[in-house]
Amino acid sequence: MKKYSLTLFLLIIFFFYGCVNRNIYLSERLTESYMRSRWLPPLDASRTTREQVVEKLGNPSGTFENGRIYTYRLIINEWKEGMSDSEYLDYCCTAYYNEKTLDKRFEQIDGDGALLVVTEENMEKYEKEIISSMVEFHLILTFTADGILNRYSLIRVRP
Amino acid sequence: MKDTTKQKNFLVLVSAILLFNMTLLNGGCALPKVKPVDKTVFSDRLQFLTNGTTSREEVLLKLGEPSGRFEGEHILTYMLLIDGNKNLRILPRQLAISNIDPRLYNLNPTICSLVLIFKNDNILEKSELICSGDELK
Repeated sequence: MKKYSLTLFLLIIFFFYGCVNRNIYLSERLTESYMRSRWLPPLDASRTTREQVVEKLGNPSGTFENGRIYTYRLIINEWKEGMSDSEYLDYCCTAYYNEKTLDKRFEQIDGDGALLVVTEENMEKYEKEIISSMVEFHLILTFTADGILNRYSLIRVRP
Repeated sequence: MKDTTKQKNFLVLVSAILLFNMTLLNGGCALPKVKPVDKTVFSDRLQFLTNGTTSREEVLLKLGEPSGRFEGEHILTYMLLIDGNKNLRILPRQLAISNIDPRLYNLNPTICSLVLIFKNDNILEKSELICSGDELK
């Protein structure tokens, strides 16, 4: 019985060997500074205008206080051609991957990904991509009455 | 007489089966505990919220896009997950309908709603954190 238990234990260890917690793994790679340098336009408080922001990022996900505050829900869409149902099932429901798969996915994000601003209009269309996306940040921008960027923050929502 | 006894036994048996089935069905329907929770219990991420002082701008800059808004911008709500270490994670809107989202893994089932009510001058008037889940004490 002891031998059997030991064998089973070793088999389980062997099975999980190489698996990593993707949240920890990705949060070390998909950092705020990576997001700023790779995906966001330069933002300069007291210089950047609202028009420049909209030109680079498109319409915001939300506006507050009569347009004084803009919020952007940002994800990196890896699937330019759209995501199939089988891809969705593969990607969305597994919390553990091996390092090789995560590396491959990170390369795909970095190479073929595109910044997507989630809005009321496109949320339904990109529902699978949004749920399966490995990265999501919120960019919050406040403007002066003249439309000049006053304060901003980048908030990591996932990983 | 024999028939009546048989009928009685049959009725008792049927009642017992019905009772058993109802108990079994209701077993899975236990409601999670829902109660207001002190904001200071969780990390330092909500410590900045002070009624009468904190502005909507400050809230948005610190917590990001809210998961819901009501009465224009008068009421903002954030959906939050609390993990085993009492760390707080803000959830975007679509999670409210998707229980297969990968972000739900590795987290205990305590889910909270942070409800923020603002005055006309954009200052926080009232805030409440309401949590549900079996992990609540």
